Amino acid sequence: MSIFIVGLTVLFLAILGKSAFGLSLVMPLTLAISFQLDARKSFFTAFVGGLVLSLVEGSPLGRESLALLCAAGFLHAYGRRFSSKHWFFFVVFAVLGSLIYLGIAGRRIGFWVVASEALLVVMFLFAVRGIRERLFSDAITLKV
Amino acid sequence: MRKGFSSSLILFLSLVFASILLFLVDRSGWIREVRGGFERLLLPVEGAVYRTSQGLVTPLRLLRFARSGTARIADLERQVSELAVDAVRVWDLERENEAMRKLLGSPLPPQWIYVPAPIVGRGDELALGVGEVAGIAGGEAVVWQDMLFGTVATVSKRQSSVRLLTDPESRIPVFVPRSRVDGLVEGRFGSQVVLTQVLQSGDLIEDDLVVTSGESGIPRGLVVGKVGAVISDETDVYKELLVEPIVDIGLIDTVFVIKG
Repeated sequence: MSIFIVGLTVLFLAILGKSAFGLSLVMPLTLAISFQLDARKSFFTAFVGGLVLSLVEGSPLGRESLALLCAAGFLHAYGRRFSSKHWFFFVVFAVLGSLIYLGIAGRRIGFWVVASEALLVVMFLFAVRGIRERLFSDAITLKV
Repeated sequence: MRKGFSSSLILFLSLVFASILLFLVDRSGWIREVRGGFERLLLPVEGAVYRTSQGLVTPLRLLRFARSGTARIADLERQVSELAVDAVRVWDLERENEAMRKLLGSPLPPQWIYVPAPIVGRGDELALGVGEVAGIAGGEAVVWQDMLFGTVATVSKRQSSVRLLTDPESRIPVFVPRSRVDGLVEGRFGSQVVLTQVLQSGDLIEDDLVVTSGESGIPRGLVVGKVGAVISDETDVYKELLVEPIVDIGLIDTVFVIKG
């Protein structure tokens, strides 16, 4: 996955999230990628995403990257041990991942903030899964 | 599998280390100019996205307004006429105040400097397209036509964020000019502004104007809002009342930061 494409996507979501919705859209994307893809891609997305987010929001460089890395690391360390097919585990780990990010990034933690971010994680999860299946369906067929 | 886990762990730790290193480098100010360059490129885009999003929300606002528009217009006309009378009285008092100051030999307050600041984003905090380059340092009052919206919380080279009055960390000393009652305005749950530390005997009625008292570095006389419903019990030591905003910040594109 090209860093350039990741960077552009994250930049678009960071600006949209800050200027249009007042929510972080980069964190839900990062957690959704952590659910679906391998550790290497998740960690790179978290790092690059955090840098772009810091530049867009004016927050200290490295802080957002650290928060996203910790959230992605948590999901890879524990989220995948449970059955990732059941929606309940998605929601629980989306909430926990959101809390980790919000706490380390120094953002306000409130019920509606965490609920809306967790909902966005689930929405991005479906989007990432759908895009992945569409892009790699031919490869899967060949493998079988 | 073990090898894969080790390599993932090494990558994770390397990126964490890189993040911490970047954080320290950023704090030292070595890459301030580079960040400023990025912000200069991004701010026009953020401003355009914000204005577009506000434009899309306007039809919904108009729809909501249409439901109660007639009643609200009538109420506003009544308030305008009452305020016109108050404005004349205030003007007289200001002239008298100035004359008294000169008589006592105390210096007049320094001229406030208004720095225009375009809004480029809004969430828990308001994002402004001005920063250190414009002379913003942090803690300044952010206003629109002498109505206070909050104080500058964080500042970078070309942008800053505003802690709104609804923020739980926001605490502004205020008073009510009509009855000279002092109090403190606090943010609650990120959506409410509450007037607290008012004695139960304090004379407050609905629609009383609440203004800043001039303490904690915020200029005196900035309008915070108007008194709304009482939310405390009569048995409490202090009375707590909601403070309603006078202007919806969603309708504004540019605010002003008071410097000096």
